[in-house]
Parts: sequence; structure tokens; C-alpha cells
Amino acid sequence: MKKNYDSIIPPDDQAPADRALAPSRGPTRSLLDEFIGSTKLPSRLRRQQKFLRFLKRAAKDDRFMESVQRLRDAVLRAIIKRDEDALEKDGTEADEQANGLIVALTGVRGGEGTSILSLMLALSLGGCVHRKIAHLDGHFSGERFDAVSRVFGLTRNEFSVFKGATEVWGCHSESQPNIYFLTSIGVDGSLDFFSDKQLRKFLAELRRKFDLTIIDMPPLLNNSSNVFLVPEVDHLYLTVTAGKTPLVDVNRCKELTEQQGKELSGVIVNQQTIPFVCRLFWRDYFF
Amino acid sequence: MNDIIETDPDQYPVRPKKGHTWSLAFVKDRATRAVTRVPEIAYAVSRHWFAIVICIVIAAIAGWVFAQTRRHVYRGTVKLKVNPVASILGEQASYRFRDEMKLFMNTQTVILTSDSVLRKVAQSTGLDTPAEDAPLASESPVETVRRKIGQAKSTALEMLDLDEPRAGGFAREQALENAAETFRKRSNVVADPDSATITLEVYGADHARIRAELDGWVDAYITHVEDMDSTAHDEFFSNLLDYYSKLEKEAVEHLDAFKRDNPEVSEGELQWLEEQIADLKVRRGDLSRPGGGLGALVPGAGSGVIDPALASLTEALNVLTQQLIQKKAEGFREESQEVQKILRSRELVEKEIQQIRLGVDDPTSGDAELAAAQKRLEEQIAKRIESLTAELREKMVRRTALKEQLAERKRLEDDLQRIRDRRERYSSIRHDTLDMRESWKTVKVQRLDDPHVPSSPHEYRPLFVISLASLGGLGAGILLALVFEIFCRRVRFKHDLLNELDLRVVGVIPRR
Repeated sequence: MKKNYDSIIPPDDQAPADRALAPSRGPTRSLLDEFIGSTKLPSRLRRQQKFLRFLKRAAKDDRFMESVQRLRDAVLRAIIKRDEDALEKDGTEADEQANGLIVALTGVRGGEGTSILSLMLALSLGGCVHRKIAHLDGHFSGERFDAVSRVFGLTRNEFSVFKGATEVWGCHSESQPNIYFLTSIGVDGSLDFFSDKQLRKFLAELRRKFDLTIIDMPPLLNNSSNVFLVPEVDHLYLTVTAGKTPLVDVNRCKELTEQQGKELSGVIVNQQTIPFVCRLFWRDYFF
Repeated sequence: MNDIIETDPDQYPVRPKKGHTWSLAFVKDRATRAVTRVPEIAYAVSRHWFAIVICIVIAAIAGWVFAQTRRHVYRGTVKLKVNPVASILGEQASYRFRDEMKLFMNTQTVILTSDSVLRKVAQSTGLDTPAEDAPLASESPVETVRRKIGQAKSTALEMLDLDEPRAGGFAREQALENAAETFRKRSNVVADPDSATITLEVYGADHARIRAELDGWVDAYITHVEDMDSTAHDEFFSNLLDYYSKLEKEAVEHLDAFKRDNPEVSEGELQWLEEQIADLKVRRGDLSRPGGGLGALVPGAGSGVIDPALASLTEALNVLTQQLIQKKAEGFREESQEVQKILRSRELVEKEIQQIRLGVDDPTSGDAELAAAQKRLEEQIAKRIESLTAELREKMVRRTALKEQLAERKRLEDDLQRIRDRRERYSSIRHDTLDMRESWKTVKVQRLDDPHVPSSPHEYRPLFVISLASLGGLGAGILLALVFEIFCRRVRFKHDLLNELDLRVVGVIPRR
């Protein structure tokens, strides 16, 4: 059942900043609402049951979705800033077709929930139907992509791009065709994929075809492939787990990113716990 | 890529700066926030709840172990009734008697806890012998170990010959004193003046020994009271009364001697003397008054018989004097005929009066005779005044001496009275004391019950100990959680990233 998103598409004469923030007024979890409830994974995808349970819980958790929306707004503000900078520099609006944003989410040592957050961020950004969003799983996990395609009912689409000899194609759902989930066959791992010389060309192709590309990067301190990818992305967000991730590791990630000539655009604190008494009076202290 | 990091660390300095991990400022900042901010405390408690639970469990177990291994202490009691007569009076008597009853009960308490009584208890119950040699009837394993250690210690001391004081009489005396002191520490006396009962309490670990000690204590107390009553005396008051009796006797002798030596000394004598002195003063004053001496020497003066001629002349003189005053008041001058006339009449009358007073029979006698008569009269008056003054001086000297003697007698009488009052007061006190002591002598100690030792230990409350220990464990756990949080080097809040690493937080996702 295809929804009509025409009513929430902002007019063309609207300022870029307003257009960027327009998705916050529209539906943001249509895919979750439509497919989560009735999806069952086959036995060979047993290890993805946890992922499916999490998506179900997330779909019912208003506070969690509200936090994801806040995260999405923060990312969109980065787009606004880019458009404003472009206006100041050239006096013309940035060419969105040639200058799509590459946003990467990475963890520190793994286990911070980066994959989930990147997926939720992509779904939330996809609420804006006039922008094309791509989500690239940097781990290139076949099981995870299979589970996602079953959960959201993805079908192979016309999008296809070659990175050297490797073909990367995009799948999307019929009910929300502006969100593409990118995958590839024959990639041994993220290091194999991102260390290729064709990476910059591949990312340029992504920029040209999508307004926003969300890359779920491998952990920064556990995978060397990030050395090649970090300089190429436009925004890099680090995901940390509250109460678990050492500050020393975060500092190390910060220094490592600075060595690559980039700066961390921001940090996402995941799995923040709040004591019961603090939920009443000191919620702002935590969120 | 890993090879690059390992072979070229200067290009990829992934290690943080040395000293960045544990800095004093970092710990101070964390400690300040953890102690002063409620969210930090709540977060520490909720995050380290497992440590808190472990602390509580460990503390509860420790409390349970403590309650189980603690030496059980039993409390034996025996109730005595002392001086039943006093208790009956105590319900009806005045506050004074109640105070005395309290004093009495306090005295009994002091007697019960006195060294002599407690030493008797120690002797009768064998407390002065080493207790560790005799095992207790209900001995716990911990107590057995403690007793064995004590025995080994004694044996070692004997072998090393370091326990010499135990050998002589001094050592025995010292052991007895120590036993009495130990018994005093684990015993208690509760006196109730209203019901005249005394409750003896003894704390110990063995039922039989507690009963024996209570029996021995009561026996020692009764024996001591009987001995004390037989030797009770009031030597102090007796000596005091003897002294004041002697003083009184001396004072009486002094007063009697004074009265015997000075029988005329009295208030009546002094008053009579005063009257005489006053009469003499009046008579001398009359003679000394100008013109007054004539009247005093006139025949018949002082007898109340007045010459009629002299009375008529005196009256005429008074009339003339009044007329003169009236004329002057009317404004007549001194030189006027009316005034001069009255003045001449007065002179004539005065002359006649003087003639009569001087005894000049001849009314026609001259001034020379009158002057001679006047002179004789003045000489007589002077002699009379002189004799009166001498008599007055004698009376006044006598009066002064009498006053001094009276004061001396008054002092003697006051001394005697004061001594008597004091003797009577001490006598009264002595009688009261004797009465009180007499009542104390009739102290009849009666056991209201046999020594009672409950089967359950005294103040044995394992649940309370465990609860208290758990509470302490909770506090320790919270403290431990705060310490953990202070020294925690992990991302806890968005403030940590902002303050420590100057990183912007774009989103905080709650835990599902």
C-alpha cells in the first residue's frame, strides 16, 4: 500500500533550510509500521532474530524514536549548513545532484549499536520523500541484508553502480521508494572494499545519485579500513555506549580522525540509562 | 593498516597523552559532581547496584556471623525486700520521709556494691580462682578456643616464671580485688524506694554460676548489714553534746557568780536611778533659771501652799502686762501717758512682789535692804545648786556603772541561751539520727524470689544485628558506588564528552 507523500513535499520556491527540515513534519517510520509486525525470519537467519526483536521494540518505543528524530534533525542541520555555505561561496544553490552528502556512523570498538542507529537514521531521513537516501552497510553482512530485505520487503531496483569489478546495487521498498539499501556480492570484507582505489569514484557516484548516503562504518579502533574511508566522508559521527565506552578510547578516536584530516562531527551517546528518580526531575541532565 | 600503526607510531599516535587518564583535577571534578549533584548520585547507585547488593549481603552475613559467634550473656536477677515497715510508711508519709527512704535505698545500694560485700561474694563463689580453668556448662566453640588459649597462656607464663606475683598473699589479695572489680562490672543494683525493693542483676555466661553468685551476693549483703548494725554508734553527736553541755554548765556558773557578786544590778534599779537623776536635773534647772531661784527658796515653795497676797499681786502684774501689750497693739507709743501709767503701775507691783519674796516685812524698807536680802538669797541658791550638781554627778556615775553591769549580765545570759539552743538542736538531730538508725537497724532482708536466670540470652537480637549490619552495608555500598563513579573513566553523560574531550553530542539514545 503506497502512501501519498505529496502533501508533505515542500514547494520548490522554499528555502533550502526549510526544505531540509521538512521531513520532521512527515511520517518517519512508515517502513517499520508496515512490515515489522508480521515479519518472520527463516531458520537460517536465526542469528538475526535479535535484530528483528530490537526493531519491533524500537517501533513501539516513543522515547527511542523521538531521540532518533532528534538525531535526524542534527544531521539535517549539517545539510542546511552546507547549503548556506554554498550560497555564501557561489551565490547559487548547491547542486544537490552532484553534491550529495556522505554521512558515516562508526563505533569505537564495536558493540555500540552503530548498525542499528544508522539503519534507524536512514529510515527516519527517508521520511522526506523528495530526497533519495541510501544506506550502505560497511560490514557487508549478507545475513543482515537478507533480514533487512525480508523485514522491509525490499526488491532489487534499477540502481546499480560498479566499484571496479564489484557491483553495488540498491534495493528499496515499494511503499517508500526513496530509501535505498545498498549491498554487494563478492566482497570479502570492509577492508577489501574500502581500500580499493576506486573508493573515491564510487563515493562520487553515490553523491551524484543520492542526496544522503548513510554508511555504517566498522569500528574505528578495530578496523583499518576506516583510514581510507574517513577522509572521504562529509560527516563522521561516533557512537559510544554510555557507561561502557572508555573516555580514553573516544579520545583515541578523536585523535585518529584528526590525523586523517577530518573532525568528528559529533558523538551519539547510545544506551543512556537514567535512574527512576531522575526521570521525574533531571531528565535534561541525561538527554 | 595495523602494520602501519605498529611500525610508525609517531605518525599514528593512537595512545593518549601520559597523565591524561588520572589527573587530580579530573578526580576532584568528578568527586565534586558526584557528591553535590543528585543525578550523579542516583546514576552511581543505579549503575553500581550490584556492588551495593553485594555489600549489603556481605554485611548481613557478617552480622549473622557476629550474632552467632558472640558470647551469649545471660542476666540473672533476684529481688529483695528491705525494711517493710519503711515501705508502708513510704506510701503515706511526707516528702521528707520519701527523701529519707531514697537516702536509705542509696545507702543499701552503696553497701551492696561496696568492696567488702563484693569480696565476700568473690570468696564465697570462688571467683578469685582463674576462671579459664573451669569450662562453662554451655560453652560455645569460640569460648572453648578462648579458654584453651587462656590455659596455654597461663602454662607458658608459669614455665617462663613470669607469673611470680601469683605466689604470695599479695597475689591472692590482688586476685580477690580483681575478682571483686570484675563482678562489680558485670553486676547491677536497681533500687526502688517506693516499693522498698532492690533488684540484684548479674550478667554471665553460665546459669549455675550466676545463681551461685546471686545467692552469695545476698548472703554477703545480709551478713554485712548485721555486722554493720551491731557496730553502729553515734560517737560524733555524743561528743558534740558533751561539749555543749560542758559549755552550758560553765555559762550558768558564770551567770550565777555575777548575780551573786552584783545583786543590785537590775533594770528596776537603773530605772529608779534614772528618775532620781531627772528630778535632780529639774530642781537644779529651776534654781538656775533667772528669778526662779527666789520662788524655790520662798517659805512654803514646793509644798503647794501659795501666799494670797503674792497671788493677787502676781495676778495684778499679769493684768498690767496684758494691758501694756494691748496698748502697744492699739498703736500707743512708749512715751504716751497711757503706757507710762501702766509701766509705773507694774514697777510698783513688782516691787511689792519682790519684797514679799525676800521676806521684807516692812513694806516701806529701802533699796539697800532689798539688795542685801537679794544677795543673801543668791548665795543660798548657789550653795544649793552646788550640792545638787554634786549629787547629780554621783548618780550619773552610778548609772553608768549599772549600765555596764547590765550589759555584762545580758552577754552572759545570751551566751547561755545560745549554748542551750545549740545543744538542743544537736540533741534533736541526734535523736532523729538515732531514730533513723534505729529504723535501719531493723532492716529485714527478705527474698521475694529465688535467683532467676532466663533461658534466652540477654539482649540477643540477631535480626536487629543483621538489620543494622545490612544498613551499614547499604551505606558502604553507596559510598563504594560513589568511589567507583569518581574514578570511572568511561563515558557516562553527554557532559563528560563535552567537558573532557570537547566533543559535541548530537544525540542521546535511551536504553531500550
